[in-house]
Amino acid sequence: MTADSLLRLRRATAVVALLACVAGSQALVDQYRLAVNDEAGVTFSVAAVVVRSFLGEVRGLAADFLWLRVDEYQHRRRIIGGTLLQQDDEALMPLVRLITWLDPHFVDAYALGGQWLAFHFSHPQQAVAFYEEGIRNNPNDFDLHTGAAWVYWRWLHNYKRATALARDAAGLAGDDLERFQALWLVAHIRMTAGDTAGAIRAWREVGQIPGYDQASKSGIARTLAQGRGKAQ
Amino acid sequence: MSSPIVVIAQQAMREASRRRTLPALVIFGCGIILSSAFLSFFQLGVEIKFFKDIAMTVIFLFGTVATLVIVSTQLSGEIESRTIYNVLSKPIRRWELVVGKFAGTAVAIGLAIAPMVAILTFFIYTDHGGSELEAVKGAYLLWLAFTVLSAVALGIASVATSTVTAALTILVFVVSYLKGAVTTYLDLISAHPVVAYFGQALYYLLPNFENFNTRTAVVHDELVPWAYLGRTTLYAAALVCLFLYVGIQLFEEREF
Repeated sequence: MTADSLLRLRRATAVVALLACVAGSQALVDQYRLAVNDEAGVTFSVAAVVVRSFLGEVRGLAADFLWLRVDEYQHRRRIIGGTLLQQDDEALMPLVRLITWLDPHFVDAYALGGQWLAFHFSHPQQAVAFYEEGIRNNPNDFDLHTGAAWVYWRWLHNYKRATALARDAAGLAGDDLERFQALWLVAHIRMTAGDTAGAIRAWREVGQIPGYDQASKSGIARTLAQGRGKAQ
Repeated sequence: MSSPIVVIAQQAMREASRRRTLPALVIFGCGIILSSAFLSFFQLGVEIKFFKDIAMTVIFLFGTVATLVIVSTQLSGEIESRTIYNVLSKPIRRWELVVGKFAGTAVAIGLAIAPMVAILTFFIYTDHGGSELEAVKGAYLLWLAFTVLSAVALGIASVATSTVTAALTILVFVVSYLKGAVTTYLDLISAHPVVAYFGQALYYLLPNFENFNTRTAVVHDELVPWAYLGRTTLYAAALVCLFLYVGIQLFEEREF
């Protein structure tokens, strides 16, 4: 073997060894990516992956500016015949979808999109799918849990899932008011489901929140009255 | 007596600061971050999120441009202006020249982004907008990305002109971000194991600049684990070694 070919072999070996180091350290980084990089723990559609890849590191900023556009358009919606023009809202939904692709932790976009899908467009199934995606990406967000619970309760009459989400929201509440709101929701969902005992339990929990004693008492009284009314 | 690497690094830093582009970029970047801190039209409660997003993006964009401006003119600039003959006539080995240029560039970029990071942390502190330490960690990871980019550019600069160096470095950078889309597309078009292996090879062997992106964690007040910082530093070191080694070998082969 000539000195020249020996040198080449040495260089090739060094490059392969360095590439192995790169791949090995990437594998080490991957073990922690879930905790740091949003894309690691979120399942994206192909379209979302493409959009995110093209925008690279500026996607957070892009999401913010799209949100500003949503905010601006929202205040410019036209009213025809006393009601908001639905086409204006429909034009906003792709922006909201894009924002959640770019920043899956943009909970305001998930909350707004879910609310519109359910209450403006009457697409409750799509609304809960959107909310559930938001909850998967932001499992500790109070607003998304209560928003989804509302749609399951009022639109889909899935009281079991609605109660579970409202209960989770009560656990995630950041203050007493939020805890009251979540338990209020639980009590009303249970009452609609015909579970008077469950509703009273929720009202009793409301009574344990400082300052909400009166609300608890009147809630229990109302629930009992409604229960008696239904029984008759 | 200082080692040749330190001397070359100091020279590279002096050269970087002499160029008007770098101070202009720093002033412009700081100006954008400062002005975004005083924008009041954002929705209540999300101003600090917007501010952090803008600041992190400005640091990223201006840092990238600064890196490209500094590195693409370092080695290839010396070759094009023929000052390389003067440098190589001194008792300096070629690898010392490349490593010295890299070290000087890395420090210069660190100093360039430092004022922007300082403004970011100052407003996070005054607005109670989360942890300043996490912002510093995020900025450190961005600096690591710039050092890797410098190594890539120096590797290319050892055989190319400054314009080609800048163009190819941008290409590597863009491809690194499009890697996710390419691997997803490969998964979609074929279930053949060879295609899957090719996708895996792309993922593991090409530089992954997404590793240095902790913007989400910084913006949404999540913790960047120290272990992640350590591992990403290792990853950056491996990439820097790879590209500098390739660059040095190509530079050694070159005849002047």
